[in-house]
Amino acid sequence: CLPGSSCVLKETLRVMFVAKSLPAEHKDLIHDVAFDFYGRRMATCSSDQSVKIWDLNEDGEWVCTASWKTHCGSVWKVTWAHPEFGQIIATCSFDRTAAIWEESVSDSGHGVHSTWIKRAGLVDSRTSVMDVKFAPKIQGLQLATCSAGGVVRIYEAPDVMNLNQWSPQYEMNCKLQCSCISWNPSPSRLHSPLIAVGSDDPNPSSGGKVFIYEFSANTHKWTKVETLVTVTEPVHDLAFAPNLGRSYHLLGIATKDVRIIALKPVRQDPTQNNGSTSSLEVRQAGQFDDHGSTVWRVCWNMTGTILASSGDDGCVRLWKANYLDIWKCISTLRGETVENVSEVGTTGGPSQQSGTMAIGQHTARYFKLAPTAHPAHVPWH
Amino acid sequence: MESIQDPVITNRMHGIIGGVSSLLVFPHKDHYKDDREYPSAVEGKIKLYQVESFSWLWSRQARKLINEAMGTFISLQDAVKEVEPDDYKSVLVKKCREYRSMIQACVEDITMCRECEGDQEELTASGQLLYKMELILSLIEILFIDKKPGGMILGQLLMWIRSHFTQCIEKKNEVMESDHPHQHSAYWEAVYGSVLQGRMEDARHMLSNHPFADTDPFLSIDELLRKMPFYQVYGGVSVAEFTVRWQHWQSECERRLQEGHYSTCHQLQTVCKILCGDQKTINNLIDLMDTWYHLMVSTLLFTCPTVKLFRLHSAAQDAIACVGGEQSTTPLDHVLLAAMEADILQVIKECQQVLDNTWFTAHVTDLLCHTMGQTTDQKFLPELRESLLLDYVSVLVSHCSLWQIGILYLDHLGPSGIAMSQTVLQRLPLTDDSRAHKIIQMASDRNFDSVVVGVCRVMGRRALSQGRLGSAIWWGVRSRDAAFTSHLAHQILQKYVVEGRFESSQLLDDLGPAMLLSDTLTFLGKYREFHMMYQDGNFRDAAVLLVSLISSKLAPEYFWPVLLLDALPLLKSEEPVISAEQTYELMYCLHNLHNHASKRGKQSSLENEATCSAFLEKEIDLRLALSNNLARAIIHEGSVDN
Repeated sequence: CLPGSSCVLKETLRVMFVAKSLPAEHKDLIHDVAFDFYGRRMATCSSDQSVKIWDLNEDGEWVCTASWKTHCGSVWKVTWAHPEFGQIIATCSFDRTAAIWEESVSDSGHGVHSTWIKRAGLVDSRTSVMDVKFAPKIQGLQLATCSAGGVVRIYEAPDVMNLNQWSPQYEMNCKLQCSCISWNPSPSRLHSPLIAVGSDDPNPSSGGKVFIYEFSANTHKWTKVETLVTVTEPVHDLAFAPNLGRSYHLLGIATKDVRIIALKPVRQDPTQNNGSTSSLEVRQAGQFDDHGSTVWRVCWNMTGTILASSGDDGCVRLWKANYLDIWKCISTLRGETVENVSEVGTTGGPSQQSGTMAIGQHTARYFKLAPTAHPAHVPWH
Repeated sequence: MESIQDPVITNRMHGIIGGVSSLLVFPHKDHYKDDREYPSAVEGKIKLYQVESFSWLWSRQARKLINEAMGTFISLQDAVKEVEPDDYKSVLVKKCREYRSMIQACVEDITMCRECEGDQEELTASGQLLYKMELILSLIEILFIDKKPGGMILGQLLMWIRSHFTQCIEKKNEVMESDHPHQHSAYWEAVYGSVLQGRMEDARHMLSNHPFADTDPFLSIDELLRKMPFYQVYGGVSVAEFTVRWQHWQSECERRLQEGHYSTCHQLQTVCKILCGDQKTINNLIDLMDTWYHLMVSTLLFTCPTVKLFRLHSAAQDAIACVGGEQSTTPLDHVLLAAMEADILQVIKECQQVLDNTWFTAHVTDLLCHTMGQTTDQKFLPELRESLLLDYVSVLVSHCSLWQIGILYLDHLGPSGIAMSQTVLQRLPLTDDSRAHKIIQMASDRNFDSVVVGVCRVMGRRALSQGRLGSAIWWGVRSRDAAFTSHLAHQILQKYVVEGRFESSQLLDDLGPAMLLSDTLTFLGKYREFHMMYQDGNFRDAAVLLVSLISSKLAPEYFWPVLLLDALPLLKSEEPVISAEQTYELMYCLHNLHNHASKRGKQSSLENEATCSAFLEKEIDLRLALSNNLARAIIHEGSVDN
């Protein structure tokens, strides 16, 4: 048993924060990284026009299992379909097309070999296709794309066993250039399918930059039910949160700051026979300028409880709500330049200037960072 | 703030969350929207970073705590539902003590570990963490859960101090084991320490070892020590009466002090001053007590033994002032102070400052929530409990071997727990069949139908991609996916057409009523039945089945040749097994097939051609057999009728 005195006086806490690096192997900038449904496969896409697929092996290491050229221009986004439909990804590119790829696994004598086959190319757009996302599985195998020309297109594969057939089903013109799109992941009988579209049009006077579209099963049409007029700066990314029992939807928005908007469906008067779309009550659940600069990306964790934002200040921040539904930043991760690190194996020692860097060619490094006074659970209850 | 050290990533990085809280971070720069050639000098140096926060809960020391706590948590939830409200308290106290004992067991494990191996720094930190948890929890037990009637808490507080501050016992043992205890440097410290903790027997024992033990001062002090009244909750003595006795005793102490009984021995004087509740004397001995709470309890012991909870706060403030005031207090102190102020919310908030994981706050809030029950004006408590437990579970489910425990907790967290449970079960990687079965079992135990169906669909897909058709059908049937199973059934039938045999026939035969899921699957199942009947020699029934399969149009067109060829031996059998009516059906089928084949002509695929040519060879044979059978069947039926 430890004596009372020493325990009381030492209040240091140990919080380990482990970062493991792996070389990206792309020849140019990476634009997007997407995890599959289980978090054990990853797709990266790049300005080098290719996509790489990474698999997590038994040792917890990411291994690149496929790499191929997908488009004739930078690939902006990559996304996975639900595994119920198979191993499928979609990509979209500056070359004005989106494409759907399926994995084909062959077991030759030398082990399992994976190739990805192009099942379909979607060539309807006249401008760069900025985002592509699959619909929630309950809606079947559907895909939405949005373009720099402001058009949202929804495609469907009517026979989920035949991926070569994708037919364009709906087209919505947002009138402003689009940058991002997100399906509401949890539609149900009570909440019709919803899509949020964000525009990075630079002109604030062109109005709200986030549009919410709703699908009506009665009329078989997508209708714009809401424009978020409080968001007038360019929107670079947005994402609906997985809904685990909330009575409202949460939308994370990356614009000049981080926004979290709650959309609560309000039933229309059922006696009105054109009341097939519900109206949405819009409430701002959070607005945060911690990045102090443009926010480029937002994404949610699988339980819809943590939002990650990436900003121009070089930081990634994690946001979480407490039991009173008040959102706060719980963690900040920043990239830093290390001063005066000498590279292993360089000849000619002393000319290291402060500020110039050399990185060792490590493929995996564990960083054990200094203990912090406030662990991830910053008290905010 | 945490940092990643890499110059490429300094300008901007993007992070993607996977799972619950792991991040994938990559460097990102502005790209030209018009896709100009970006002069990137970054080739080969772009790195991705996988970032995880490592929780203490994943350490070896915590593992046992997590497992045992689960048992206690669940039995607590069950007990609270079953037990009468009047008996709540005994249940809650029992559970609280279970939590405390599991923490203590952990501490013991660590103590043993330190002697062998392991990261010493980490073990020390874990040990400190656990010590704090137990300290806080035992105080919470006294102040909130195990409240004694009458509100007299000093007895419990004294026990609390005694079990957490053992220096005086250690010193006493050291002293008494030495050759001349009274000459040991720590002798009098041990005596004072014992007195301050109300350990009068120990103090008397040590004093009796003194060579002057038979002198008046020693005898006098011995008497005082012996006669000090201690309040017993169930002792049968009322508070009022105890107070009188105690004051009488303390007056006696004061009298003897003033009369100079101990003027020859200043240490005994000090002891007597303690007994008289002399604040200055007690404060001067702070080094023996270390903390303000020890000081507080010792002070109360000799100034106000009948103290009640509501007065504790000001006594605490006084003690804190003596040890250096507010600025020297630590987060741990704040927790204890908040407890003494009976401010549950503050206690929990402060706990989060002290402890870097959610194990403690989650379980304690749950315990307190049940303790407070409906009587409370603490309306926030149920929501806070749910929130903290969900946070705790979030950490568990991120770990590959702790997720099952997480699911068990979620059963007791209302609708949010159920929703999270479904999500977690769906998102667990299906690393192999046994994992899939485990998840399906857990999901179906909880009536999570959609999860079961979802897992089956994914497994079915995976089996298909690996070419295991029989296994894929098995999963497909369980997932009630008609389109998928149809597709698979077609694949199996087509394989049969080409290879002439069924793979995974065992799986197909065991389908049972599940085969009704899709027409094609039904056909496949029935066709297998036909095979079985034929093999058993049950020709008549086999014939009936075969013809019904043909006439019902269940069979896909590419399979008709096979069926007709199957009919051939039956047509040629010695005994007529196919009736005239049935023969007409077969002829009709053949007629259609012939028409379709000639229409398709050169459009047919290679496979179809192969079947077609094989079929054409037999066609003549078939036509002959059909006519012969028709003739004999008509005759046979004609004569039977007669």
